[in-house]
Amino acid sequence: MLKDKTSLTPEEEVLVKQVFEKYIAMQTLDASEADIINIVNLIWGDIGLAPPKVILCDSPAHCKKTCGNTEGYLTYWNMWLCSYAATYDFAQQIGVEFDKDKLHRFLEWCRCCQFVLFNDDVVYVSRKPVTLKFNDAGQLHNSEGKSCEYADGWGIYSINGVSVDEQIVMHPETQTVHQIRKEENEEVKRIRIERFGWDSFLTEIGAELIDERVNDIEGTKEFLFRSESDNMTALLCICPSTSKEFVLEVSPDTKTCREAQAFLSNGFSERIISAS
Amino acid sequence: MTKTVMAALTEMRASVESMISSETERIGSPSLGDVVRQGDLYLCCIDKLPEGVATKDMQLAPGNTQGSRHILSGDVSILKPSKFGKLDTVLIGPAFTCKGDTTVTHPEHGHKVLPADTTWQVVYQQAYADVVRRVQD
Repeated sequence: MLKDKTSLTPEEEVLVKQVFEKYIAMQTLDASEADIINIVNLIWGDIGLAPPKVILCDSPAHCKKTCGNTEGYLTYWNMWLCSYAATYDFAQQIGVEFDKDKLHRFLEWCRCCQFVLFNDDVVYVSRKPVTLKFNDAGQLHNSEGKSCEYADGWGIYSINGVSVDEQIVMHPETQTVHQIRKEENEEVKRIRIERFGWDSFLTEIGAELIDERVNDIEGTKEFLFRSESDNMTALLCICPSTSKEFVLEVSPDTKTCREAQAFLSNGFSERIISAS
Repeated sequence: MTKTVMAALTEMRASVESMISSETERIGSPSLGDVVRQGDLYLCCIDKLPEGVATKDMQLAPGNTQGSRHILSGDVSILKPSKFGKLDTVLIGPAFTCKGDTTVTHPEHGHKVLPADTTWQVVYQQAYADVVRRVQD
């Protein structure tokens, strides 16, 4: 029995990566129909139910459409459990002991049935997406289309792991300031602004210049804009190496460009001796 | 102050027109606490390597994009620490000791040559959107 393990060997570090990659690849790899039916029957049997009718569909939306009246049906988004499955899978490989039957059922359930719509007698199982797109941080992300798309064209849009609607990704220029302002989710609001363009947004909300300076280290000009009505403060700065312009939101209570740089650098900006 | 965003952008662009700072720069004799910035990466000069997990990955920022390719070239001891001061873990990058002169290369930003026998902690730029996200989480 493995106890109190607080560090990993180099081999186990490699295994972490292998298990991670296996589970990411699994997200677009359909299980066989026989495997799907087998695990559904096993689980239904465990709770004392007869084997249900299993119907495979192209997407979660297709499951609902095929079902028609979904009243009395439940949904299960197994894809969200795959991180647990990967963790348990890794743990068993390094010696953690589990109830083997339960673990087998859970891992197979996650592998075979990414989305299910079900009642006691019928189970609609979605096939897996044909495309998944991620950013560098491994978050669902696609700035030019769906981040997750199924064979029938249904899918979801995401920016840096945050679910957003089609307009934000495909037609961000059609957003209005009113629409952005009334967005209640603060994460989505910032994505809306980013896609709309920070400079355009600051202009449209009438943000006012509250500070400007020449950054002595970089020799570039910086400007700090503030909108009281939207409680937003942003630093306009430019990279001396690439000439790329940035509008970087900072903490709303920031008063000067110097404070803004301190925020962005986690307090290290005052000790910069070289920048490019 | 009355200056529009557009006017500020124009003035800012003019400030870099005659500037060339993408050349390689050799860092002379840094003091403890000095910081070298390369894009959105801050290299803080520290006295010794902290505790952490050894790695052979010489890329200092995660990802596959051009912007993330801050890559060490030289003989270094490098590891991934789990903490640095009170910083959130997502802002903490690797730490490394330069056994000889070591270059931090990047396809766009000027390279930085760090002197032998210096130790550095990588810190990532903070984004307010991430602060909001962490608060919401």
